[in-house]
Amino acid sequence: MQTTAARWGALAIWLATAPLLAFSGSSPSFHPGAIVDVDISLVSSDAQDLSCSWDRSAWGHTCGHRDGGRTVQAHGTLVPTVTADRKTLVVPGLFREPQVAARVAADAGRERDAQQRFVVRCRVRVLQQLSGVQVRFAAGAAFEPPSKQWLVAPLACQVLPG
Amino acid sequence: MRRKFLQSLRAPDAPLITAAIVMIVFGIGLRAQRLAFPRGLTWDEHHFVLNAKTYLAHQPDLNDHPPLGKLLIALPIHLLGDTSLAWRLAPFLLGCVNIVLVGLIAAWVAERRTAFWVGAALAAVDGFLIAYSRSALLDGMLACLCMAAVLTALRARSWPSFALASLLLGSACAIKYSAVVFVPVLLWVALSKPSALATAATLVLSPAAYTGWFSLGLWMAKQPFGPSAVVAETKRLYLHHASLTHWKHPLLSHWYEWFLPTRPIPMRNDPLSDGRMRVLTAMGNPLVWWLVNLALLFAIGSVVVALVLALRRRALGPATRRALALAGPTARRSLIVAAWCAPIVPWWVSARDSYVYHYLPAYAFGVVLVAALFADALRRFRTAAFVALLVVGQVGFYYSPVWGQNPISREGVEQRALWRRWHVGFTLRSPFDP
Repeated sequence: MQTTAARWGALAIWLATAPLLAFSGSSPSFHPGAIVDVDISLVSSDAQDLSCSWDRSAWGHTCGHRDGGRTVQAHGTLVPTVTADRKTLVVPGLFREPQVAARVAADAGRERDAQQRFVVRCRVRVLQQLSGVQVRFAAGAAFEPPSKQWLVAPLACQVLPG
Repeated sequence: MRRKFLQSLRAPDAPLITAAIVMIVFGIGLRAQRLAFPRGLTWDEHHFVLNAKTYLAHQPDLNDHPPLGKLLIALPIHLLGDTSLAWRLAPFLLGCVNIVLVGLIAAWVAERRTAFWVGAALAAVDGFLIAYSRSALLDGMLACLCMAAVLTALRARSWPSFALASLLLGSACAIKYSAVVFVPVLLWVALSKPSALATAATLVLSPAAYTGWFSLGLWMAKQPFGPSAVVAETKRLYLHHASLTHWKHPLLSHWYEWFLPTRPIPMRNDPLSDGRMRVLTAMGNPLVWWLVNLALLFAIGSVVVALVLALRRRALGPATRRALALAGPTARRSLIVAAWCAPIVPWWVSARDSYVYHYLPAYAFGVVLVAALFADALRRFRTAAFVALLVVGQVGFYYSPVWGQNPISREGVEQRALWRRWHVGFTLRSPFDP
């Protein structure tokens, strides 16, 4: 009788853990070559605030700064962003995407505090993971310590209706 | 009523049967879910679906196998239309029958009802069998008819019922004529029956069934049909297959590589917009796969030990007679070992190109041996064997995304491809990559 109860107990544990095993590794993930949809929360002033510093280039893209932020790179296009699921990405030319550029242009001349936050959904291709990238999320602030960031190329972006 | 239910819960086998039912329902669910996905042809499906449609269009079959497998695929296409669901319906239905057949043969071998539940549960959560239930391919259907023939022969009490086994074997040959290797197995069973000669004589119905199905295919394709046409076509196909000894395709594997296996078949990889993918690999449940090897060694070992003991007692004659009569668990196991060996023998003795899917009919009988081993273990170490079965089930749950094409990340697939060589089989790398 006791052993039958023990077997029912083992069965209950088995049933409880089965979904964990069946769904393990099923969450979306980044890997080079993947095409992924990401939601990025932005405010128009981010066009001036978001910047990165990196001494190298990848896939022809560079950051706006190098040497830990001491040197400005005029042709730097990489924009550091954080996705809705808290993943940090660097996206080349994010603010040149037509819908994002239009939204930023619509906010031109508006006080920073009066600007509404918006969400842009981009379909991106994951290019590679960069290491040693320093990011900052406010103009004039110090760059954060070097960290790993995913470099993604936007294929198309749309601003979601607020 | 409630009291009766509570009493049934206290039965020693109740947890085992419950676990088996969960695994069977889960396995059927994996086979059935999104069966129509993808809507295009994958892996080798084009060989069989396109030729199934040529039968419906009364045009010649260009595939190099007899017609029955393609006729089985053609029937749902004829009834339901040319959809991806219809292409895969016959392999799915026969794949579900495989679950029951493994259970029934296991129950016969072990002479215990619990072996049915164990066998069916193991077959249900095995990816090799699942992949061939989800694809418009022949090997799952071939395994089904081979097992049905052997089971019918084992259970036959008179020569008319054995005749049904012969017809089933002939039908299996009409899917892929490699099933002819089961003739000695059925002959062994026939000779163990009371009216041995009359029973064995019914084996002539196998070529009759083969000829019948082949003629039906030729007739549908508006080609000459009848025994002489079937002989000519069979000879043509045989010569074609005999010439396939190039060993160039990267997924080819020798029979001795199937025990690991070294080259599982990658069937499908559909990328999703969020970076995940839907994957179908023909790699089985690794634990069941390796337990098949173990069960074979155990079965062969127990037969050898039984023979040695008989020799010591100078009773080889009675022991052999007993074995041929299939009495006792050792003799029953030796018959299933023979059924496991039969589909592999052609690959031992020939240099013909071979793939791991040629192992499927043998593997199904291997799962039977595992179930019989479990049934034995359950008798002596009930709780430990029960927990071991649960572990097999857990491995099945863990691998289920790559059998049921559930969304999974690349990392998730990599975790399941235990061995770097399996990366091809798990669709992480092209077989044509250097």
